[in-house]
Amino acid sequence: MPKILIVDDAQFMRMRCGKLLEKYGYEVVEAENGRQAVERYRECRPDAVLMDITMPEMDGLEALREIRKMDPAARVAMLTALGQQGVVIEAIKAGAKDFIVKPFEQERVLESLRKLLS
Amino acid sequence: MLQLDLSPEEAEVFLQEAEELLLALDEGLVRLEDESADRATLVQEIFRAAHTLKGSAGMIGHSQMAELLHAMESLLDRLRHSQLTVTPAIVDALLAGADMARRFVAEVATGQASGLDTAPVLERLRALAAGVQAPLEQAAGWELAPPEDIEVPEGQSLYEIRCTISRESVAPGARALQVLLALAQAGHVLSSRPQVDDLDEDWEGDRVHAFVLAPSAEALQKLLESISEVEPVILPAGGEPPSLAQPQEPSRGETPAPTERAPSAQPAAKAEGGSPEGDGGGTKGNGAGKSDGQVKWVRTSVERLDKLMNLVSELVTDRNRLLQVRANLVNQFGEQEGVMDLTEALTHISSVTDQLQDEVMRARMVPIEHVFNKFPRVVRDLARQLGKQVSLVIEGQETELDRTVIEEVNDPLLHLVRNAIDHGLEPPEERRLLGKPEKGLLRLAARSEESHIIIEVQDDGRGMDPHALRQAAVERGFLDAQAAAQLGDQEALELIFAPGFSTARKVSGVSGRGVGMDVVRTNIERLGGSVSIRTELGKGTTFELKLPLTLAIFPALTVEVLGSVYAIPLSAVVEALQVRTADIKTIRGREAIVTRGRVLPVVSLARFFYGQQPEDNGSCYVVEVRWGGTNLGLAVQRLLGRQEVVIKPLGRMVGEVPGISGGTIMGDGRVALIMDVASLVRALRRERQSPSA
Repeated sequence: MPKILIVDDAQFMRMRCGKLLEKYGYEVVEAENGRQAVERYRECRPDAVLMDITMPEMDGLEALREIRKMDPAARVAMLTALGQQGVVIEAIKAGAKDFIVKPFEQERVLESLRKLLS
Repeated sequence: MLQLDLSPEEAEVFLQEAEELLLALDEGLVRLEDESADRATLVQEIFRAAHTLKGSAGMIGHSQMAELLHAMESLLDRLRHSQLTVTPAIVDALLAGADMARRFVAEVATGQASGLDTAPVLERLRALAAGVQAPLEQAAGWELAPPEDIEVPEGQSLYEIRCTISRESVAPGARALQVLLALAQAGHVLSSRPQVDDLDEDWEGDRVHAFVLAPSAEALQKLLESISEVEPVILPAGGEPPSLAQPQEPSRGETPAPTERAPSAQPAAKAEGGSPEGDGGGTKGNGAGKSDGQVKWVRTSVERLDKLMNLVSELVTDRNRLLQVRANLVNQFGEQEGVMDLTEALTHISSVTDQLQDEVMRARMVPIEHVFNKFPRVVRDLARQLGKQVSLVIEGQETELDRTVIEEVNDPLLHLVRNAIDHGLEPPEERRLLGKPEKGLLRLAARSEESHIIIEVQDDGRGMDPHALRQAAVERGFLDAQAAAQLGDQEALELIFAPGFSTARKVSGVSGRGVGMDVVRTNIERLGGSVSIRTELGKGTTFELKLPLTLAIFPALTVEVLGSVYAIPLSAVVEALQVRTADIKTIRGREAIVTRGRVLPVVSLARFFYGQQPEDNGSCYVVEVRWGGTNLGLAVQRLLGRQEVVIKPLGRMVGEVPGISGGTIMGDGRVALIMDVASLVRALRRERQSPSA
């Protein structure tokens, strides 16, 4: 069962997203900021990460870089809001495999994970 | 004097092509106003026409014209990228541009600068284009040129990548980056648009175009497929022949002919991008595949075709002469060996001549589209000017006609269309009150029927009232009340063809002053055609033009009148009867015969042309002809046979003779006069109507 790390500072988002993924048979791990995300990644080596960009403590971009440093094969998709193209481009340069725009549709999240894990 | 970089031969090609492009512009722009049209495709076509013309104008050094077309092209580009939507103001400005471009093309034809001031039109075009932000460079089409002189390493192939990024994507730049990174991972990117460094916060393109060296298309495919919101198309570029050639115009290069995978949505084909030319250049194999099985075209001048036609005409005349000579020899020497040899050779020459004539005629055939194409614009302009709403329906534009006929038919058609919009169709308010759709119908239709072409101009407007026409004829002194009352409905309708007769209640600037219809009829009849009218009050009117396929050579029935030969065009002949002279009766002062239970008026050609009665030897022939709804018998002494005749004008010395349209040289070298049935019928009608006859 693929393990997915959901990183978002909004609890509502983590909940909604977690519920969805569990329904489709994924195992879900959560983190509420970038620093926590790096720790969780080290602990449980998820198969994929859904990473919010704007977060306190450590933002998604930095967390992505840390994680990729630790695991160059890490599969990370960024969660982004409108108007963040510059950051997304940075994230992709830093090794993000995909990005999902919030508010997202279920299908879009599932599709992204399928591609990430293939 | 206009200084242009253009040789006379080039000028011919330039002008011909420019004419086609201007037509495409006009036609496309008019259709653009129709909301049901496929605007994306139309804009693309119009853009392409403007772009191509701009290129040619620039090439010959006509910078003013190029500048104008560039401004049009820029505005069209905004439409193409949905940065602007079509408005009447935009179409008007573009049409104004097209009109000006037409005048520049005329400058090229005459070599005389016309001193046109493009400033106002340029200003309009630019102001409209400025209504949106400047286009981003990335929004261009698949314009990246394929890399040249590339050595493809063993085990690798060159691929052209066309990725369309979904319009939904909020960060297309990020998708583009993903594509580029994926390509770099799977192979070696030789060139791309955009490049990685172009991608920033503000990038708003919708496609990635790249040339990549990679071991296989599958590797590229796999990586590109993993990217969301991107539709990739991978084309083998150069080297390998395409697996499938598509019979497409070469310029439609954006259609992915040889794809490794058929993408479900055909994104590249649908994408609104694509430069007018050269965009398909990346796929060399593609182009090579297309040339197979295509018709190879050669442009040739109309003059050359005319010359060929004349030569063939001479040949037909000589062939007929030879056949006559052979017949004489057979009479004189019987079927001797030498005569038989001649017969055999002649038979072959005859058949070759027929085929040659057929082919040359076919080469001169042009689809009537060339005439019809102008009408959407004409109709639009007229409708606007006259406050009418018109929906134009064109049918049978592929019908082919001899180009001389095509040229001659343009003006009469224009006149009929003008009349239909001006007098036939009611204004929208009136139509609404009548319970008709506000948009009037105007139908232009062509079809071929045996050796004729039928063109119909139909409207669903007021229709014509024979009663009103009779009244008008009396009021204007064309007929007295009694003569008018005697006219049948169809004859009353024909009054509109009388010179100077106008039924227009108000004289508008558009339809002129009623001088038109007689000119229409004269022109059509001069072509050996006829005009007829069908009309129903309140329902509309249809004018039917019946035209010969060609003018130069036609089959005719040759007859003898007082020792001279006359040729009656077979198209007018209904039948030929042998009658006893005693059977020609005089009914109410006119000669007629009774045939098949009806009375057929008969005219003796001897009397008509020579004013004398031929010797009565008990019987004669009556050739029944039909023209414009009138049947008439022509009494002649002998029937000679059917012959292909080549018409020659009689020349100014002879002038116009009623009943004769020209001369032809017969096989035996005699000159035969070609009968003009239309003018004969009319001359007789006049004679009958005028009290003195």
